[in-house]
Amino acid sequence: MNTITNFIEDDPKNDSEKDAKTDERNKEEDDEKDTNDDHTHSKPANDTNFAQHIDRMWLDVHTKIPRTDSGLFIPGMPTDYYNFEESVVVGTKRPYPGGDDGDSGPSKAPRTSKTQQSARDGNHKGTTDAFEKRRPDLVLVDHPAQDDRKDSCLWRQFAVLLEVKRDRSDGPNPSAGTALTKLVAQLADMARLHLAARPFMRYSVHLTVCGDIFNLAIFDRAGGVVSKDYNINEDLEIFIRVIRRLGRHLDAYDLGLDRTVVPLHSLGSRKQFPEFRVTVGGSAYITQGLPLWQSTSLVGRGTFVWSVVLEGDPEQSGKDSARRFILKNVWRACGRLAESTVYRMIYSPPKESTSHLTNLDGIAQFVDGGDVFDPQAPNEVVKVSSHRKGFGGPINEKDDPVLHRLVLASRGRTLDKFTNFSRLMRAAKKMNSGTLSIFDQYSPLRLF
Amino acid sequence: MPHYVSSTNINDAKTNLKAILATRVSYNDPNIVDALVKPDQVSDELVKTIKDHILAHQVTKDFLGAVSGQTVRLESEMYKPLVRRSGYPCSQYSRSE
Repeated sequence: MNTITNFIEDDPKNDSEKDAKTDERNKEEDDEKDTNDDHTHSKPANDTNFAQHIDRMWLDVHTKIPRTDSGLFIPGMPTDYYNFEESVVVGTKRPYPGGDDGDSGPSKAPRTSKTQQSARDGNHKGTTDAFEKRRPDLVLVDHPAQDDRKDSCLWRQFAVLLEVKRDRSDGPNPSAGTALTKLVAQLADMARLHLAARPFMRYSVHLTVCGDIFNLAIFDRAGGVVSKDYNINEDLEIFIRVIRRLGRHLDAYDLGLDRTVVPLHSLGSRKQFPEFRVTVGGSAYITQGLPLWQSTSLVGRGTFVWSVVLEGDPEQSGKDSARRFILKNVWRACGRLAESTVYRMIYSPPKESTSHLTNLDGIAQFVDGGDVFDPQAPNEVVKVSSHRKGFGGPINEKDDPVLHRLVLASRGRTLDKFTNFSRLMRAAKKMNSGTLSIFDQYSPLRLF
Repeated sequence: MPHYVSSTNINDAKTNLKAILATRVSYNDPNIVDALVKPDQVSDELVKTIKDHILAHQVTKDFLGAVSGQTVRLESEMYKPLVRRSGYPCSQYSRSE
């Protein structure tokens, strides 16, 4: 592949101008980069939206375990990286997910490690942990030029994941019918980890090369879409164009990042977990550090919970400690009542119905929230179908997850922060009183 | 140390993946590449140059032939640059070699 090295020169004049805004920016970067042999840093954008900074490289990680940030726990990702990596024999590949029966596929060799250990899943028996040790073959990672070049990388740095199989029969499309293929199950498994580790993603982008067949696939909270088969020999031009676009043209939004959030740090920085500017209602909030919790399921709500501060909060000026809130980011089922609506009902019930409502002391204090509106279609809320326009099968209107956010003022503490038992019991009592008040005494709000 | 513990049950997630996803994947989609990646945005001249260069080198031609014939060898037997593990920026690729 080094033979294509010297031909990464773009001629902006010949590039189509259909995707004007994005491409103009990228062409400018191309001009700058391609005329310099040194790896120069992208010209900083006029704003500080790091989603539009494109500095990427391909990494072969098939013998390495991609990591997560220190302190970020994602079920299924090993915590003993060093021991684990030492036990992986170079050149071998892992089985498909669900390979409990030992069927590792025609072009795979089962992992030889005996030290595979699930991270806190409490399931160390048998071989079911084969599901947990996913790693792609190659990845396109966001990599700021000023960062040292390293062979290892973090899951949240992945922009695109690439899986390689030797045989075309291992491809993602079923030979007949619509049965879930092994490769799609494998990709989906990696996608769920990718979406858990890289915050605010709408979908995860994957490439597969199986023999001379290559495919593009995405996975989101409603499922996945796999392209038709392309032949790497017959469709070599398309392959070149796709690789070029993924590596040099498409920004983080094009590759799945939620267009309503703005990363305030490079998505590829190893040292700094990026903060995100998130708008809820009329206010903007800045995420602080790692998410407090994130879902690791692929299909479903994809919940992320963050500690956030209000942007430009006047109460923060001159103070060291900012007032913190809780931000919850979920894909809600469109047929269900929105969580923010439930909170609004709780906090603004009809007067005649609240005479017997003892108190709301144990209920989280609701600040703001609602469905997220699409910046590209201001009258529409963001749904899975929003990014599937033009491809994929039709999504059932009743099964089209809607992006939903809410901000809560009540911020609890982790169990290990309680310094004595009586405080812990008082907190438990408050939680219990809130539950009783709302669900047992206020009958119109019975939700179950 | 992790600062919290997830309640996600791995076995449930596995069941979720296989059972729920099975009916939620669209295969053989003819439009996703054009709609999502927009490959036609890359200049024809650049593509032609890269393609010509790839096909002008016997090593890469042999490799594509092996891919097509599904006879790609093991890493230990392969042409070394094809199995390197260091990464290069997309703006640079192998210029340092």
